[in-house]
Amino acid sequence: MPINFKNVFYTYSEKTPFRHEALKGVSLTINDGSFTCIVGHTGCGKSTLIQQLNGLLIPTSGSVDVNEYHIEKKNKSLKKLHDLRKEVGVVFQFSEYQLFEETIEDDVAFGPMNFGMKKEDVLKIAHECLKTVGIPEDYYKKSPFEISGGEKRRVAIAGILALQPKTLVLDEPTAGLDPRGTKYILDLFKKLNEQGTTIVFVTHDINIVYEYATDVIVMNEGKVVLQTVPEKLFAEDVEQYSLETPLIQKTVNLLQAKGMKLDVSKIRSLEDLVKEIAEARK
Amino acid sequence: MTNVALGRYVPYNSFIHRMDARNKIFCLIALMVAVFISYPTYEITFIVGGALAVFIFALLLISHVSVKDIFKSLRVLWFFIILLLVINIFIPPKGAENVAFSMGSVNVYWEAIFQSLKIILRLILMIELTMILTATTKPLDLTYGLEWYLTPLKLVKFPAHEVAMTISIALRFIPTLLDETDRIMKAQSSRGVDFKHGKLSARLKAIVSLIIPLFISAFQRSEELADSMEARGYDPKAKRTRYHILRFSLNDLFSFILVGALMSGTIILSHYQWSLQTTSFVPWYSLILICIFIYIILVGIIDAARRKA
Amino acid sequence: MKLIEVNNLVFSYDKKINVVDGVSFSVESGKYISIIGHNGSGKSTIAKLLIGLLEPSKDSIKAFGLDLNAKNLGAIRSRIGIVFQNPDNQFVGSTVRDDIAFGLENRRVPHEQMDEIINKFAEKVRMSEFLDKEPENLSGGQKQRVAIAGILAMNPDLIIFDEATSMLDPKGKREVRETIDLMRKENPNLSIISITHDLEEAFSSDEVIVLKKGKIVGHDKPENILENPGIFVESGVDLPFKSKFVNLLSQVGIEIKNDESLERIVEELCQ
Repeated sequence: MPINFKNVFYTYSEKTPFRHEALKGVSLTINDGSFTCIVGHTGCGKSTLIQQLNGLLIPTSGSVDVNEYHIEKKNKSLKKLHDLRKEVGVVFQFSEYQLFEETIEDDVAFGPMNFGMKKEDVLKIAHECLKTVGIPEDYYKKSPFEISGGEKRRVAIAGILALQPKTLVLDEPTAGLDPRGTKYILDLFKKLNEQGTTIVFVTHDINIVYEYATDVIVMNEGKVVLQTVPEKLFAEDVEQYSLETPLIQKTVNLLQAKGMKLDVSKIRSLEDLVKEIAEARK
Repeated sequence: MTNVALGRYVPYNSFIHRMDARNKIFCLIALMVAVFISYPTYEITFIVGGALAVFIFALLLISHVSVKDIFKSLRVLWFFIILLLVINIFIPPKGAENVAFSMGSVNVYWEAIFQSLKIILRLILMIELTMILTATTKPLDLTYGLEWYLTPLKLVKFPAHEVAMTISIALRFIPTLLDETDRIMKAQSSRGVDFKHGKLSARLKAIVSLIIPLFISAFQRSEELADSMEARGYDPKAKRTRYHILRFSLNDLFSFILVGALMSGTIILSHYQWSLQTTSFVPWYSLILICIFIYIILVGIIDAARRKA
Repeated sequence: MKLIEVNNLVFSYDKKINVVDGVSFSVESGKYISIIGHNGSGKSTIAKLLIGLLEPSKDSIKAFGLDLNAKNLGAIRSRIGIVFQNPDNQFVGSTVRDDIAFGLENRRVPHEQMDEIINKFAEKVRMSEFLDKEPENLSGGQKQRVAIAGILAMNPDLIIFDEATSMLDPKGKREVRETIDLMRKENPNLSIISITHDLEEAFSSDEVIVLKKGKIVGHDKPENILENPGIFVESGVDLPFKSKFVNLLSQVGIEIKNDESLERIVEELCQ
């Protein structure tokens, strides 16, 4: 079932001088199996939005439907929200700071154990997830505090994958990583997506949207400005949404302006572009 | 962010905002003395208490502290107030003899009621005073004010400057760490941790899952902060100049004398009663008063001498 | 004039693995040098060594003609500024004003001159209207600009940027980069060492140093270093977009002669 937001408002610290309206009537749909990117400036409400997805925040007004869960202010059963968190896994920004157990495998197992699974079963899942994120076996018994920053990030992601969520929500998972680490985890999410996990990906990096997204949501000042597919978004001038033009798109635009005929629908990466250029020059 | 409105510095440009932090600390102590001193009879207690309440309320208005906020902060005290009443009713103060009314076999004394009211009044006034101080004084100025009072301790090698610097940095990082706490709690909640419900063992684990990451991040922050401070030439032992300089103005002198006189007045009142009979010994709190005055003058001299050097 | 001379610099945290392993380079007055390499290549360690937060091997660093040792540390630090990665963890003051003042207090600038200096440098980084704001009410990019103002106020000869933009959003990155450009324009003698993952930034600087496992595997002008793609494969560093594009084109048999800019490449492709 798709995720549905119906006219969601969210206000922080209501009735205090620090009142802050973060979401102002958001309606959107996130389709099953999609790789949905949410883009917008810092403070546009992206982070608030994703916290509605697993019931960390309950809309001040409006409603959110996630699978069979209906989240609304007057309908909050805490038990149910707890179970929802198993279906929608959220990886927060700088997730390496959530590690705390003595060993890496225990940390990954921590999530599923909170949902009442047995330790033996959980360890098996934990090992699988660590393998998925590319952590070698001899690390399993190590302390999560003696590995590098990029590795910590991957262990934290494994800790959420271990919940075996149907939807994986990621808040800037590549922030502060080097290009190699970034590419590695992006390809990981792409693989997970191809295996059927819905990915909701919050990012500032427009190039990621270009290369990975199947759906894109543009936000500004607590509102959804645009919900569309990347092909349509980049066919327009994205700078009107104060986004940067991806480098590949910039090249495509330059080439088209010079009269080269390119089949834009086939271009998602630099390799595709080069292939299309070779075609066009024949 | 959670409710951090209480006691937070609110930038206005009132008379009290402009006062020297050192003077404000003195006035706070002096007014606290006036509030907490005990008077011979309940009549005097409530007359003086009422007068102080009006005075402090006026200060509140001058300093733009929201009265609504104060009532909000008092909400937390409800439980305490009820507890106080109950204790005083069941265990009446010594020498209680005037029965107000009876509840079954329990006599409720006037003294018990007055005693409770007195404590409540003191509490409220104390909270109001503290809020005036924190709402009108930048944390940094407050720290510098405290450092000034600790100046003499520097002579015995007490690291007054380091302590002040530590406090000011701690104050600076409170909002950052609150945000961090919020973020880690949310991250762990997403992993199925329930911070509010569950068995004791589960909740203990929940707290561990919050505390450890918080500590690790705080340590990392402090390390990076130390690096950055060092790179910017900070050396705790070296002499530094000051950007913030506390200035004792004419207004400060005026308020200093006013509050000092008020405190002296209440002390005299509490001791000499109405009759103004002379007693044979100097009351101990007058001694405190004299000590405070001497101390402030001494610190001023030492501080001036150090700055000259 | 050579501001910094690094000669066979070696450093190890645990006395087993050398994080920095025999690095030599020099920084000339007014030059903008980028250091790239993936995480763990020793980039940030070099930055900390240059400013004396870690102790370098003996006689390996010479700054402003002085040996970097405990005796000269104060004199050297007064001429080098550093901006770190995390905007929050280098904001010492409780407001923008106080934070800029912090360095001035350390350098014993008289109180009477402080306000003027603070206003001047806040203006330079375009933070004048935020002087009384607390750090929690500023964006990451604004905090980094305050850090830059605090350093500029001390009138340094060299500023080190240790991944100073990596935690910022695109807007913050742009703001910081514009600030850097502006201050270079105002003071052409100011040298910059930028440790970065941002290849587009690195390849717009004067010199690029590529690090791998504590060793320098490439050090040259950007256009020269790009002629040797082996360096990038070896060090695991990505190529800038333009070079990647040209390389891929040559793989399908399209050779680009002039790869000066994206526009030029496109022109050639459409001929």
